Amino acid sequence: MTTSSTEDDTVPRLLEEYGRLSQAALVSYTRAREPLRHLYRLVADYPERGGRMLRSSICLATAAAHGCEPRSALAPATAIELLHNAFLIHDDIEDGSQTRRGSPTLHVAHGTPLAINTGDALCLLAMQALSDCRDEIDLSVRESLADDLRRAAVEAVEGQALELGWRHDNAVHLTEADYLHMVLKKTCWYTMIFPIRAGAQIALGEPLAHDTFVAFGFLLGAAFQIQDDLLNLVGDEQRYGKERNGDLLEGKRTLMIIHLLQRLSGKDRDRLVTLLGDGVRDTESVGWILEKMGEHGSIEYARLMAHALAGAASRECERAFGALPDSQARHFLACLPRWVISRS
Amino acid sequence: MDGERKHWERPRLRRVAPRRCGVAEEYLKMSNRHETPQATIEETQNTAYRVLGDYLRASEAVARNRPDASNGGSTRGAINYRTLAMSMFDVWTRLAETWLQTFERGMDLRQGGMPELDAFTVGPRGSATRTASPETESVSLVVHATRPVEGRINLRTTAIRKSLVAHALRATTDGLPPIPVCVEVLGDEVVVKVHVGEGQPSGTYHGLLIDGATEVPQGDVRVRILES
Repeated sequence: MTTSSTEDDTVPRLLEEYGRLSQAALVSYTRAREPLRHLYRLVADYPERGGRMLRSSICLATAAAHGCEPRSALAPATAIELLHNAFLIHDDIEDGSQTRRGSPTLHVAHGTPLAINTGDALCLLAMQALSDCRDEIDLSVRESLADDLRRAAVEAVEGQALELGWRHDNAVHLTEADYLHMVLKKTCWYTMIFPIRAGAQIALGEPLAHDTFVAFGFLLGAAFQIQDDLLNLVGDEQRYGKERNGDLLEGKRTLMIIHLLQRLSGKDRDRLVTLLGDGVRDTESVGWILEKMGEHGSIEYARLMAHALAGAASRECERAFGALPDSQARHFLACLPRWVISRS
Repeated sequence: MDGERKHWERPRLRRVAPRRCGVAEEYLKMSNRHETPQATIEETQNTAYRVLGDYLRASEAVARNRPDASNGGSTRGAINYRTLAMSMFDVWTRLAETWLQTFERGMDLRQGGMPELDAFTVGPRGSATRTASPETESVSLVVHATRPVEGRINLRTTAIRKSLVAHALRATTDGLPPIPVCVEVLGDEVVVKVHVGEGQPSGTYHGLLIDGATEVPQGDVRVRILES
């Protein structure tokens, strides 16, 4: 299986193509209806802001790589996008985030109660999307997809609980392994593992063993999450779509913070621990943390870790899909590891 | 359920005093040792596969406590114990492959910056797990055991030297005693011998094969001891 160059446009091109398909399917669940003002207008808000549709695209690409029409995997692809948007709304509330995809977050624009209710509705619509495919998908596969979706959702909330717990308890002795474990649960299952498994199960027409594609999805998802954390610090806010340094303001235990906690000592470490516990509240504190990260190479370290994980993901991709016939979709999957760490 | 009218504000944070999280204290010893980009790549991949192995073990424990777990688990993809055991075995295989590929790639990273996509280097498909082929049939694995076992030797190169040495096989489950391995040279043949004692607990064991002259990994040995 060929690997990609950084100039290869396969990922953005197919993201656009699969994204259009997914967006069209998503609209049927977020269409305007009553109660419009306080629910369905809000349900459609985040999806209409133009996300990348990464999760659904991975699902469609995996089905296509196995020789199936991408459209045939639209049900789980739609379900995971709806669930993703639900998580985004709830995450924004939990994190106190101010902007999402370049606009005010839903709870900022409409208030926390309506935002929570909208997130709940999107969760239920995700389940609806999966059960709506009963005529096209064999029962055993449908049951397996439902198992997987439930598992992805449970893993995500457990991972989120770990991360919120670290902030709540002001955990300061975390390691890279703790971080990877949290990301495996919080991000990887619903961002990578479920979409890949769902696409493959649709194409193969049979349930998969519980661990198939978990290694690839984990390594790819972990690299993706680290890059996301990096963009929060060093990315272009206009393109990134979220408030710059929001993770620092929220005291999030990113890999860069974990590394810095390991490297600092004495008064500097005490200051960081206090800031994380009390909340980073001013630009001076943010600037100080960024300066220390620069001094101790925390950002470069995180980049290197993302690179290492993406490299391992590339090998897992070869193991998982190397025997499939050459295709655009398979090439898309092979290009993902490089893409996740080079995206801006 | 009318929406609140006032502008939402980031909530005041109320945190308790710093304390150890204790989520994964066994990993504390693994942190803060990366001196070079190469070491970071190796340690990252090592840690990632270790986390994956631990996760699969934890999944097994959860599956055992599920009310519908019976006769080895569900057949429709939820949890299958036999598959799960094999997958844990596989995780350690992959880790070994990662080590081998990392060692083999050499140390030509640019210091202080991103490597030249070194972590993406992929050898010919399947080369990392190639078992003894006609070119390597002079290396063989002999497992002595009084219980059912599965053994496998993976060689990374066809040019196995007689200076081959083997690490003791370590269990993928914490706390199990290692299994000693010896290497014997019989004429042109190199024999890797594993002796499984009667009291050795069931489980999956794994160890590297190293060229004693150059200390370059040459492959790995894996043995799974089944329940008798």
